[in-house]
Amino acid sequence: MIPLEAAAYGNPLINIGVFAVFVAATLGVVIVVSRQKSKASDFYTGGAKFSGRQNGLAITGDYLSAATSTLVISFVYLLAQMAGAGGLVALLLGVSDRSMQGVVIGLVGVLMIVYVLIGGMKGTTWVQMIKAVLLVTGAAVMTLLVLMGDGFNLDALALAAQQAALDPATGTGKDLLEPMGRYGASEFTKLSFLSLSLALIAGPSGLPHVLMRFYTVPTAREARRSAVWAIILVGNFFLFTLVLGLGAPKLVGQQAILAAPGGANSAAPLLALGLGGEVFMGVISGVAFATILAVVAGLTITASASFAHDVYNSILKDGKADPAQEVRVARITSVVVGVLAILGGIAANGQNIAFLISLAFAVAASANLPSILYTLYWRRFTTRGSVWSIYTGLVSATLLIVFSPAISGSPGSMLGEGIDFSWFPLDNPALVSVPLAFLAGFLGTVTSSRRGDEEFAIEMEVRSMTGAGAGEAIVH
Amino acid sequence: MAAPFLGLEGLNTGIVLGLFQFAVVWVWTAIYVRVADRRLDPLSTVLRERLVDGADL
Repeated sequence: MIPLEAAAYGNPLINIGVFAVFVAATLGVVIVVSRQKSKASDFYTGGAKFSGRQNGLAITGDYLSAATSTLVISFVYLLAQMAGAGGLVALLLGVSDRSMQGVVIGLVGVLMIVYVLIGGMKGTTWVQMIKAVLLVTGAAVMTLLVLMGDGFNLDALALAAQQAALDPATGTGKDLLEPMGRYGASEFTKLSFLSLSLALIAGPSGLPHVLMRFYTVPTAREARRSAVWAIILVGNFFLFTLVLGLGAPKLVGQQAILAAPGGANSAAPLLALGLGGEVFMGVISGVAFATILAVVAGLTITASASFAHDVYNSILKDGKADPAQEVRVARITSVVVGVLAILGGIAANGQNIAFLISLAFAVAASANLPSILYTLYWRRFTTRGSVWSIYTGLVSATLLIVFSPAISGSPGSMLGEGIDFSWFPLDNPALVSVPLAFLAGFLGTVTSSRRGDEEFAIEMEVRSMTGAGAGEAIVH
Repeated sequence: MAAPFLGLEGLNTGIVLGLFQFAVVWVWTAIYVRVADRRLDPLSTVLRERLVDGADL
């Protein structure tokens, strides 16, 4: 066990220094790449020679429903990330006062807005690439350090973590290795786990800022290459987190983690502190901070692009707004979304971030994925089916979250045990809301008076398979 | 699921099964990419060339 003083978590000055270096470096990159001569619409296409600035869902659905789901999902996800940023910075700077943490969240939000306004899509993409390299490298180094402590014996590491967890002096006394330890309490919690799994499988493919990435590649081959890279990087990263998750209880101890400002969310920085000292902790936290900044910037730009293109131009201006107007609206939207995210982040401060993200995934899985799958594989699918599916998924997922034990009525819930208006038994709504959205999409399609445009569907399929005409706008 | 796996007390059956998922994902990805590169891509190249040349399908 590495001794850890209860009061001091690293050196706040070093942490501030590392943060400043990260922010300055990434901001520098953003400024440099955005200086290159660019068209107005580059603000959210990143200059890609592709028509992907249309919201992907809007191609077959209608603009309003596509924009609504994009905005809602982006907002829920932003909220989780902002709360995470607050918790992280609070830990590193030793800020335990709630209102001061709120100020910190506000600063993170302002920084994000600055990145988006200066860098646009291109700058944001660069920040995301830099942070991806840093994040995977940082996690790999920590994983190596943890494994070295046990002579690269994962079995021994798991046992040591188990011992530390069962010891009441350092751990919570709960069995760490028991499968379904957290979700196995009752049939409902087991169903909750199934629901969470569904959200985690189906959600990422429906996240708007991830979808948007796939419009920046011209051909199926390139998209495949992107996907393979993502699978390799993300797969390894999750293997690393398994090791880190065992390393934290062993090297830091659950009691020490829960007592730190930020609670469970501070496990990784504290593990870095135990492994490599104050500077290493500063660097790892800086990487985490850069990650959050990159994600919130990506979400904000996706949300604002969706609003400017799908709502402002396509609905309010009937598609006749000039690019400069559209970008102006996108910029204003970025600021509005940023301010809302700051307020939401302050409200969500102190919640478990991984849990908040699982809710965003559930909404994405319910609102977006059914429409995407239908569009790809069902030629008869109509606009009406798409609209029904998106709204049903969006509304049912949101309502079921509001009336779930995650919001009220249970000890760990957002509003606490005292207030109880939960009637839906599962923590995560995906198990119900995803099938509902599929059903609505089916019903909307079969009740359409007009049949789906099969020719258009075939054309889309050929385009997506061959990449032919990817440089031109799709008329729809 | 909590039973030891081949005598490993820490890595119980549940965790080993979980790790096995990673192997499954990578194997399937490799198979898919191979098929796509060798069989699908030549087909789509032919189709694209015909489309770009202006020939109707």
